[in-house]
Amino acid sequence: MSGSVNQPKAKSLRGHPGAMFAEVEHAQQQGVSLRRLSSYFFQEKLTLTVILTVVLGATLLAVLAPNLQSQAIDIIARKREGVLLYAVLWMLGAYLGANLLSFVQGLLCARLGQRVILRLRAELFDKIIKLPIGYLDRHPHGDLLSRMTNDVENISGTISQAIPAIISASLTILGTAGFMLYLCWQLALLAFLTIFITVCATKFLARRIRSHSRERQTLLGELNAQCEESITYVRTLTAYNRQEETLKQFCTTSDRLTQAGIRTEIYSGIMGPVMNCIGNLEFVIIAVAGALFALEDLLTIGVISAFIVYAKQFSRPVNEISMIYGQIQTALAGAERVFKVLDESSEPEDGQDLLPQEQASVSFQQVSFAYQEGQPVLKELSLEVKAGSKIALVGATGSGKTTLANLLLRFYDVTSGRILLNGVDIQTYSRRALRELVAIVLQDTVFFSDSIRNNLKFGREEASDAELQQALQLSYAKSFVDKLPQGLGTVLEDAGGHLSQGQRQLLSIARAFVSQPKILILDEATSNVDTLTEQAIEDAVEKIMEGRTCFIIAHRLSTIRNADLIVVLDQGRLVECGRHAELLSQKGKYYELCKSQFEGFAI
Amino acid sequence: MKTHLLRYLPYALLASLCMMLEVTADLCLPKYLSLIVDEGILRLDSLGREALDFILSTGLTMLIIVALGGLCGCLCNFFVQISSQNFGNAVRKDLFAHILKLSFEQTQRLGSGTLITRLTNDATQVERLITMVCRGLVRTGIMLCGSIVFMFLLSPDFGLLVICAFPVLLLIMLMCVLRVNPLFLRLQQELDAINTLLIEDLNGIRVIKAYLMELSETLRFKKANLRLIATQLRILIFFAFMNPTLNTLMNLVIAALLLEGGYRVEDGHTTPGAIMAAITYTTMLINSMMMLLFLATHISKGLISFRRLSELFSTQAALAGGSFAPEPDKLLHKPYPYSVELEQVSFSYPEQNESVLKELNLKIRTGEFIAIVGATGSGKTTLLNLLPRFFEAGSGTVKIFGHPVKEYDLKALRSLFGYALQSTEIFSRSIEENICFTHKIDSSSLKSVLKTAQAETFIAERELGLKTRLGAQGMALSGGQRQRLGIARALYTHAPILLLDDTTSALDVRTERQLLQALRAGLAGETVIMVAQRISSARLADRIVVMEGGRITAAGTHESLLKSSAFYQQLCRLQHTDEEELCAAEAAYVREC
Repeated sequence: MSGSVNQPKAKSLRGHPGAMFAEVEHAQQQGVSLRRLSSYFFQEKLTLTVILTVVLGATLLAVLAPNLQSQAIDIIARKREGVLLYAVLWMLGAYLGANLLSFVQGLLCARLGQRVILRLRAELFDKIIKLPIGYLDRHPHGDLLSRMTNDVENISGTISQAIPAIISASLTILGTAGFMLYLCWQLALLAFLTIFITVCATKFLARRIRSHSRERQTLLGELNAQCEESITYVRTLTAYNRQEETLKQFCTTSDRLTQAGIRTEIYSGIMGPVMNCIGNLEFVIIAVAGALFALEDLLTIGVISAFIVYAKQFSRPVNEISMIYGQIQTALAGAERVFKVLDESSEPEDGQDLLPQEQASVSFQQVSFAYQEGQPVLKELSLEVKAGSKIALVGATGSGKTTLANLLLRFYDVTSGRILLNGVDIQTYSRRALRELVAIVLQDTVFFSDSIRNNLKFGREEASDAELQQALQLSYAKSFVDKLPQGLGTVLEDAGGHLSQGQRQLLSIARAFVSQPKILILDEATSNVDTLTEQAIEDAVEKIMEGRTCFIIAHRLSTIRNADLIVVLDQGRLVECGRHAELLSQKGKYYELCKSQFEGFAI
Repeated sequence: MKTHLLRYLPYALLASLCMMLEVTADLCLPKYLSLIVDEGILRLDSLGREALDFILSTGLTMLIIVALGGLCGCLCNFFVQISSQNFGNAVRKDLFAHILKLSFEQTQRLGSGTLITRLTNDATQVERLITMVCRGLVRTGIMLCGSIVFMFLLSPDFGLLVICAFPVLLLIMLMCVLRVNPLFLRLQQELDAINTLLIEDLNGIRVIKAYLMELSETLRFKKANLRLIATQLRILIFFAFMNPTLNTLMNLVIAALLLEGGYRVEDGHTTPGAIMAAITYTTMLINSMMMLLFLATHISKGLISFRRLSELFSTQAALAGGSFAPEPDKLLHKPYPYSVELEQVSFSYPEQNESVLKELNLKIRTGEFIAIVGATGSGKTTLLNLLPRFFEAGSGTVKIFGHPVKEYDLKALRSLFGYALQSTEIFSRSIEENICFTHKIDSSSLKSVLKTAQAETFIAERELGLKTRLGAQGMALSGGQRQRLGIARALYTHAPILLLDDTTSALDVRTERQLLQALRAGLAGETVIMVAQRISSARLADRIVVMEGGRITAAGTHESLLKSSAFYQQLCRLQHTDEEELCAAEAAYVREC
């Protein structure tokens, strides 16, 4: 599915003469983002200096060579004294030197650009993995994904093109203009005249293109949304015989998009020929004016030929820069978004390490918590949990069961109150130390596309194969893992997608075994499982709970019934607590819950 | 696609013609330059003002040619856009219509992600293919041939010189295609790998943090990142190498031209102006070669998309409807005794050996309320899908109101069903538009439907009520709210058969019971077939059908099944439906005390 995660987006018009006028995104603070992005480059001072030198040399040679070429032509036309062979060799030398240097320049720029991207991407990942859970819960994962893919890719693509282009373009423009002025300033000024014509023409066209292309972008977005919705929901459309209406709607948008597209493209298509006309006008101006000047003996025909080359050389970088200008803007806007993520604060690493402990008792004291201010999820909850006891948390969806687990792992911190671990506030410990103590088994098992061995070692990195085997044995997962072709070495393709739900659950229990936790959180670990493996999982759960302090969030009555303490939560408050039979006889909330919740849970 | 291609071919041809004229104009220019140099500038000394006049008049002719060329260029663009965008539009529309006709099994196999890519990305690529061919390929092709021809016209020697450079050029281009293309493929794979890694990590962030695996994940990412960068660097280095190499080749040709030309001028065979023109043609030639390289990659991309689309178009919609199209009202008022009959029905997904449904027999009376229970994978949803012919039974017959489904017109068949899916698909529209899918909005009917579906309260809580927008930019719904809207949607069709595929699982027991009771009470001869998870809701049905491993193993009322079906007994035990058990536990506790 990885291909379809990103929204289909507008194809860039890169490389088209009108591309510079297509609607591009703008960074809100271009200057700041540009400076910050540049700082990544300035850290590579040596490479940057070498590149600058090389570009300078290459540009000089590229400017010099046409001059040598025109000298050779002058010699042929007998307007100048000299040996043709030498002149040609000089020219060739200059060209070859320029080419060699431009190769070196390309090489260095590529390395520099990729080094920067490597760092940017690594920094971004490092940040994402360290972001507090709260941030990740609040922001769509797709956004972060598109930071990593679209934005970094855009920066990467632009960087390797833009650096040499900008350096060499500005140098070429300066160099050529200088040479032209030096050779014949009158002719040079005339040649520059065309630049003004270019600017005027582009300004005129740009306005029209921009308005059409904006319409086109909007329609494109609309069409993509329609297309995605109808295709994803094609079942409902078919079931309700809605194909014709949907098709009609799609066609209308599609037609409008085509109209807008044609208008945009026609206007931007005029750009090319207009530029071409202006270029040729320059050619004629140079020829006619050059001839006029030659009549006055102001210059030689060799100079005219050099001017023709220079004029081309002059207009090329101007076109190039305007071509990548849009790309640079998009890249900067992307960089700004990437930096915004990088500026988020990571989960703090403060707090002290935890001394090894045999057992863990937990105490919640007046704990309140709200994800959003003013909407408390837990309200002044107090609860004593003896070391080694099994606590079942029950209550309707949204009553705060999972939140309790989140707080215990310090994915979130309490809004008020305290959670004590063996009598000490958990906030004095580092998150690292705390999490080393706790293992979780979730309803939605999570695995990574790696070998089973590495996935199990997730629990404890230094675990030996023998320990892994033992964990598999204890969790009843050994039999099916042994049947896999490579045993522990089997790579879980598609993050374990080809294993059954039950097998995945057994593996995740094995992983918890490996980590040898003191506290265990089982979050609906036994629901959503087919009947065959259900018994095995329940046995494995029984086994892993032995001697550990356990928090069980479960739907199955059988799991809950055996708990040492059942805690009934209702809208963030602890309303009842006690043993199964005790609570039933009270005929309170628990009794109600049993009747409504359990009398019909999952098959 | 072929017919559309033919339809817009004239425009494409016109565009190509204009492009030819434009290129011809471009090609003529160096000739005029050489005229200006040779006949004008070089004779300035001998002819004086006469030469200047010649330069002026030639210059003017040149400008006219340029202007005409520019006009042709604009016209070419006009025609190209008309043909390519209209073609793309036609393909897109056809494709969309085609996709809507595919069967569930086909869309499921192809995947919605793939279909969306075909419709957005591939259609655009094909559109660009036309532009590329009409404008790019025609231009570079003519440029390439034209510059060689003009070179020969200038002097056969010059022409031969350029021809000599050709094998080297070809070699470089071949190298490029052979070396870089596989690299691009690898680059894509490595990009995908990084994406997958990130998606996995984001989804599993709680596990990563709980097991303190941030560091090892960072290392795993670093490896993937390094691999990606290495490939990207190799591609970039290749391009850094390409351009200077081609330029060097061009410079060598220019040097040879100058030397050769120098001697020829002495013999009087050629002129300095001709040499300058030859140099310009060489530049054109090499540039068009580079252009060709660039075009080749784009055109191959477009062709791949074209092939993919042709493939999709050739996937024939698997189902052909019949002609039987009864009025739903008539079926309701003059009922056939059985609304649904399954006779020896089997079904298996393609490329899977085991059948999902095995020789199923079932008769459902018109107006009966049926509940289907069974474990995951026992074939409940598949069974429902067979009735409106979303899936085609492999063997056996499915009859609706006495007629085999194959005889029905597809539209007529489907209008007999109100179907609520397992996960309700909510469209980005208002609530009422989401419910009133098939018929015009009728507020009294809408109101009663919402009442039955227990959806009145949560809609009334909204400021805009029924006009509240749903979907991506609209109001977020909980699972239970979605399901209730789904049921309302199905009810609103007033179809004679109602299919509810586990559409009450997210509701709490009380609401579910209220909903089903209201549904029962409101029935006017409609048949209801409901897949249920909870025994408590299944009990409300006239008959409960038990499915195990693709077979119907028992059917009957709750009481009879408790006696006859071991599976059903187990189900009840698991679900603790039996309130007696709760009471027993209670009693036992009381006794203990």
